[in-house]
Amino acid sequence: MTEQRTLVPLGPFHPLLAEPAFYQLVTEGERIVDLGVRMGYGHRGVELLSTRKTWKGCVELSARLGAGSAAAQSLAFVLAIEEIAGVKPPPRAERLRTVVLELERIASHLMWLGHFARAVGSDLIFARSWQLREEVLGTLEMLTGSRVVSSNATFGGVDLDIDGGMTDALRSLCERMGPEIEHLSRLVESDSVIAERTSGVGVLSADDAAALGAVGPVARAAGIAADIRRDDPYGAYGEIEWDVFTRTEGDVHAMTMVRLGELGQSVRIVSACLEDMPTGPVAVPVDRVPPGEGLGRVESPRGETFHYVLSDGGNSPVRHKIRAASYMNIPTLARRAVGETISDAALIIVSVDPSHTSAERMLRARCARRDGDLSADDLVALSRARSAGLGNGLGA
Amino acid sequence: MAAVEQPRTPAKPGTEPGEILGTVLERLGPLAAGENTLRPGRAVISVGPGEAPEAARIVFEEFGARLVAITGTDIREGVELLYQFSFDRDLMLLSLRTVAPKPFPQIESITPFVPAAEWAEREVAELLGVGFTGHPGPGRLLLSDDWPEGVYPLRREFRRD
Repeated sequence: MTEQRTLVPLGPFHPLLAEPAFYQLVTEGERIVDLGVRMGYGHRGVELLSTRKTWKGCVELSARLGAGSAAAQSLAFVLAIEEIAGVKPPPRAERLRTVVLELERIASHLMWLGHFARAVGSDLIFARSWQLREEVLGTLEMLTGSRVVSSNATFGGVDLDIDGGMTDALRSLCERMGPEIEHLSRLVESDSVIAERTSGVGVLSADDAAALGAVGPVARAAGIAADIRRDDPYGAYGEIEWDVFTRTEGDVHAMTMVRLGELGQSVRIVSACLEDMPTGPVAVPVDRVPPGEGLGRVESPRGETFHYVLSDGGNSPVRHKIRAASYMNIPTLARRAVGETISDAALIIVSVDPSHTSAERMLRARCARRDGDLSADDLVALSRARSAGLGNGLGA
Repeated sequence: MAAVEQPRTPAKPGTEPGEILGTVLERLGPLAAGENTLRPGRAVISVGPGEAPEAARIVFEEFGARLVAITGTDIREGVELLYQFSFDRDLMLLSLRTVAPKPFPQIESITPFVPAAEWAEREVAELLGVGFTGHPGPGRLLLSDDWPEGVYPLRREFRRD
């Protein structure tokens, strides 16, 4: 006798989900027998909007595709343009791009670790990882002027150089982060509840990962050793030493361990970028975007993000196609959740670190309209003053 | 710390970006109507709309390439489709380029043998009006349920009002 099937809706608006998405669990008793995903609640037609923006505007638009991947998204677009224009950024710019990309990865993985810790009920790990993330966001703000839309890529290089004081601040951040991350890793590894709740849960086989085109930590946890930083290098990744982390189990535990390992590697990469930092310009001029097509891909914290740009030599792209990492990783959930229990569903969903907004190409930015225009410097100063005020407990 | 494990599928040392292209072209044989390499590691192979699904199947099944994206572009006489595959071990990004002619662009679905194409084809279908015959689960992906039938936002004739 088969048990009666029940539909358990998670979403589209749900306290567990930061962004709207609709996961439909079909269950027999406690067991999940099917998982459907309904997308599109955040779709805003960014690819169409992009064809009505200036080239520079498209960089800003790309940075706002989803929280936590501003540097990766904007750089993927910039790489596509540099491919069309045949431009190579100066060595110092490559280093600075890499520094911001890796800080972004640290911030993103730490945020993920917090979400994950809440899902397994570890408030200590949640609090520590988000506290650490705050420090990284402060550094990103120092480097790029923004805690969230922290991107420095521009055509031909980066738009902000760093000075000696910033270099010192980065070095000291790396020195502090190394031991903190090791401590966090030990907390996770020694937690028997985490091991019990995540080992063997939500397994993604290497075959399924390949068939579904999974990317990033999700694929690497399933034994697929793909990493765009190594396979199609950009920035400074080709010239410094670092390791690609893989596991073979493909379960929630493996995805956790891969991200923890990557945190340590990111600190290593940032430190290496600061050694013998090349001097000189941080950008070469790019006057116009000639006709042609370009492809840019970057290993964002969630995996490969891909931008395709077609130019006819005009002021805007004819076509700007965006494929974010979560677009490939969310579909793995259906196969991974079947056979697990309802209580594991949230953990399995969290394990892919889904970013629905970037998968659907939503626009998160809201234009602040004020009397009198604010310059970019004004905005940066405003943001820093606000953060400093909050830090001092004075409020904004 | 988690242990560093030996990656299962790294590039062979000394692999030059895109050196596998010759082998792929040889295997595709008459399916390939033309080849146009942007730079080493960025290849474009033109195929007819009837041949594109078979070419995609060969690239995916026999070369183990990973589907990155399907990019559709309205080029007036039809919808250009780029099936973008990554050869991660061979450091190459390959685009299979074909055109589904208007007024009713249609092409066979590759989802039955390339599962990663499921969402990508649904998206091209709803945004550009390309019919993918044999798609196992057609239907809206990103647009809302009350979006009017037959209105494709990435078509050139689309007007916002």
